[in-house]
Amino acid sequence: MNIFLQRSFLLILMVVVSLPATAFPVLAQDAPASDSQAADPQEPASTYGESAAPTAKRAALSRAPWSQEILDEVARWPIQHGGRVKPFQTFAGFLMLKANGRRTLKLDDEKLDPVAWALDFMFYPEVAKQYRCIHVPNAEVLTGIGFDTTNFRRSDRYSFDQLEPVLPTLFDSARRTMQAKPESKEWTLVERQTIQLMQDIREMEVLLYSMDSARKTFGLNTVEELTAIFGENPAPGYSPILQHIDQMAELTDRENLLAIPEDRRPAVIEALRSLQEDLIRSLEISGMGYNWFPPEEVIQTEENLPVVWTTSSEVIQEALVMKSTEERGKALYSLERLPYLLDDRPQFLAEATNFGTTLRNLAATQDSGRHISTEVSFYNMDYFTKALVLFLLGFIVSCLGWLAPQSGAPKKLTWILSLSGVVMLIAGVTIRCVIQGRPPVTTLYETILFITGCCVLTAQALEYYDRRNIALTVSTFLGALGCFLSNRYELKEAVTAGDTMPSLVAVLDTNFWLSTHVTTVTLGYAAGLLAAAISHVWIFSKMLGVKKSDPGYYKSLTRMVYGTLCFGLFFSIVGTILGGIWANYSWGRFWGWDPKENGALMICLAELIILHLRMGGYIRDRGVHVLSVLNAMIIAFSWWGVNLLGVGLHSYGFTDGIFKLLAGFFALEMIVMGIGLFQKSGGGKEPPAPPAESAATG
Amino acid sequence: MSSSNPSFWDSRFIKSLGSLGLAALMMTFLLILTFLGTMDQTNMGIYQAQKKYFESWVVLDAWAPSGMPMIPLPGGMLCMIIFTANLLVGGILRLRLNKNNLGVFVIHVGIALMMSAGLVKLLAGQDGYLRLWENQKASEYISHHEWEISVFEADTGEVTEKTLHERFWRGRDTLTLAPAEGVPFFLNLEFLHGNCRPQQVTAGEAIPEGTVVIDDWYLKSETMDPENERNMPGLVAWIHKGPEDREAGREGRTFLWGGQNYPWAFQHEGKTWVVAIRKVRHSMPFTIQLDNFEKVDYPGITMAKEFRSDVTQISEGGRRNVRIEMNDPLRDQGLILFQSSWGPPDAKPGDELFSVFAVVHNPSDHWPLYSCIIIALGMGLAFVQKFLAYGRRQSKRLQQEAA
Repeated sequence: MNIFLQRSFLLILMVVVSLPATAFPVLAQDAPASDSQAADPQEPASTYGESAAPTAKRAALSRAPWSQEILDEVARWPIQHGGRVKPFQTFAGFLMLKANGRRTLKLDDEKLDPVAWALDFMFYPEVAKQYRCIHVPNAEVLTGIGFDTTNFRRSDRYSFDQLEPVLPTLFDSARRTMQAKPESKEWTLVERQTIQLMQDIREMEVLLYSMDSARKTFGLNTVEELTAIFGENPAPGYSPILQHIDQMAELTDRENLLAIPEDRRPAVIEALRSLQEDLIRSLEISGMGYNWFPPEEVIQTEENLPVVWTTSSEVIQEALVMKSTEERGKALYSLERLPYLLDDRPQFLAEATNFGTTLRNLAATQDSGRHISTEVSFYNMDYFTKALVLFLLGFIVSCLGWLAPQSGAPKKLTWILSLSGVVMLIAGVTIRCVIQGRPPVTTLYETILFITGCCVLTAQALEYYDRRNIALTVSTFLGALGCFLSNRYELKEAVTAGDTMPSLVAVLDTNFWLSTHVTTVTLGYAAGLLAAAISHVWIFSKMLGVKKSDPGYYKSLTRMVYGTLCFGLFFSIVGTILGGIWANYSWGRFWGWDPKENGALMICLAELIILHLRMGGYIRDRGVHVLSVLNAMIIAFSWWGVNLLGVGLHSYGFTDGIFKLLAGFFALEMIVMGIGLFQKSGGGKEPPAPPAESAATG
Repeated sequence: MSSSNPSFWDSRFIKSLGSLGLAALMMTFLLILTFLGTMDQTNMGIYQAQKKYFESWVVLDAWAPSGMPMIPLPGGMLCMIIFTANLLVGGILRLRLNKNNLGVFVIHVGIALMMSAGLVKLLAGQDGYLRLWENQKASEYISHHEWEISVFEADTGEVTEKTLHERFWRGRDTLTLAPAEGVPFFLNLEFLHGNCRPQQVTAGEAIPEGTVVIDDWYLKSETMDPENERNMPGLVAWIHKGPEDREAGREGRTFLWGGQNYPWAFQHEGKTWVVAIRKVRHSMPFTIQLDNFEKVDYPGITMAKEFRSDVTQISEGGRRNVRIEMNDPLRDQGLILFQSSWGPPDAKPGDELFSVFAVVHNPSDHWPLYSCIIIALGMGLAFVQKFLAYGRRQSKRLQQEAA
């Protein structure tokens, strides 16, 4: 709890009541009257009334499905989490993805999306505790914390209730690991997964207990002086205190306390002391809750420094020191009513709307949360899955078209599908840029999407010139592969960063260099990978004897690879040097032999070697294609492999768990290179080597 | 380019030196070295790997996966020199310039400029760091990696010190420095370890033979840390007046250890002298005072969104207030001060923080930018020419197919 606020809180409310009841050597200062207290909501007693407890009790035992209107409204609630303001849907989606490994949960008769799942955790905690939504993919993690793993399957999910008996062991084990090994790169796989499980459980606990303060009844009617303020049947939660903060200040005023008859004074002071203790305990717990509430004062920060949103605890504390909490009070009131409106869904929707609208309006005054609706619709549109489907269909149609080469229809349809896919991809990437306000290449996840888009566009451009249907087929294949990989990697980024739009480390927070260096380097990656994909076509065509009688086919493939490599080399070299210039202007050194820099240099060197060997007549078509495949391996090493080394300044790119995937890719590409090197010519003639240039170039 | 001496420029040696084959070979070696040097960084850290692979003439024990033999390779320095010579001869001097290879020529000029920027930085550049608490000032910065021995008389008000860079003593058994101006004694240095820590001899402890033990203490050797900044070298030092008391002087030996907080101080001819081992210090032409340091985290997480320092630059010309922050350094009089980091790393909210600046002296500071522009222009020219030619060929083919 904020020390200043706690002190102020004690000053205003607590100092007086903590003194002996019979003597007041120090008396409370006159509290200034607030002119901006919580709005005058409806009468709390009539809202909660006597039905409140049974409603909450019923909620503990059963649940009713959420209407789409409620889900849509709650999806748009703004929340500050992980360093940025995001819609509740995004927050719930990544929390669910982290814990459950997917964004849906199948119940017997219903499929829960992230918002419904999170709402159940908030409003039906006892029901949600039984949801099997915690994925632990490693039996050793469970065994290590004393959980019975008989009949364990990797796909199993566990419920909160199931894991509850071993949670103390889990927390202890994770704590000991983090103390012994402060650097996360030292953790073993089991230790890392244990810590991840602990973090997931902790985050779910916050969600699970987030409405507890709304369910809590404070002692606001224990003496008649309090009853006079709060009524016979005060509502639970913080809202009544917030609404009557002036009267509370008045009650604790020195003169008023002294005016209480001496025989009653001890009872009043005891009631206030008890309320104090209860409130402090509750505020401390609420202080660990969500930052729902934007501050009401417009904070002029230097150079757009972030505005910190507050928890419900901080709202109460600010009210106690007479800061303006009028709008936040309204929002808190709406939020605290929700657990008691579970049987009245239209009213629930109305209060949920009030809550969201108040928060969004407050956020707007701070110029934050502008893209909440855009982000909700971005995730609802699911652009990248749609692009995956389009590319996949395009690839299938294109493959069918190869069986009927005379027909133009499959090619036209492939064009349509490929273009539609890339439009979806570009739209998704563009919206991400708008939401984040920065170029689309700040995380590994984003580079997959960006590189995929560049590969597809370049392949389409090649097809426009070549018209042999090769580059078009490759475009759909690479598009589908890239979208599939991005889909898979999203889970990894959710686990490591909790979001695919995370906050940037200070040195990366510069749009100029991100949009120049990173985009050019990744364009270089894209071109090199596209060239390698076309080289695969050449190698397998040779192996299978495709178009034996058409030497132009092979010649065309080689030209495409050569041209794409030149294109890639341009961006690789310029991008790498721009990276050096960025480093020079940010860290004071152009080149530091950092693994990521070395990876970029290796790509430049590999592509330069291919071009020089070809220019000098040392290799022919076969050599170009085999080395182009090797270049793809180098690109994969630079893009992903160096992050596994755990060395260097590019720590924002570190990732786990892709070693097997990368090793598999390298093994596969080695086989392809072997096939390319050692196969006998299956089709097309090897063109003669170009003569070495008489005046050689270096 | 044309040449005034055709016989020389057409000689076999020059042709070979400028050949595409040699270029490809050197780039292949550089590619292999870069890969191996990157992999070996997991074992020895960036600094050591840089020395071993990229600033060397030959690499005898290159990284290899377990079970694979180690193959000797030419070092990065050798490869880069040959590559640069190849580029100058083949790509610039011997290139018969015409409109078709103008782009290639420009690219090679750009790469040559970039290589020369690296060479200038290597030969004439200096770098280090400067750590300041608020209201603290400094006029010299400290090297990240290099050590030196400093000798000075402590009694006089103005300290004039003599320094000896580590290249003179690192790895040498014994080095004796004769008296020089201002230093009236022989200073003997015996290098022990690149990384060590002092340890007291305990009863029954088996100490390696030949270990120097002074007052029941010795310097225990440790493996070199991949983070070179953590390595603490250790030496033995003693003084004597002349050849006659050399052996007697050995009785007064002491350890000089990189991690010690206090230097070695002793009396000589009635004066107090100090010998210290420390990181090399470079003077700045101005003084920097840290007025305010601010670190701002993202809300709710411990990641810094921004950190910046407000400093006063004090020079003979006066004082000026400057803000140094990420991606916005202070550049003046050949020095560049970058906002690098802060500390202490375990500081809690509200604790006072210090600011760390990276300080660089680089005469070729902007050359990479110029070379990037030149290379981009050259590549653009070359590839656009090729692309247009490809487009013409393709449209011709399509017309033929249509016909």
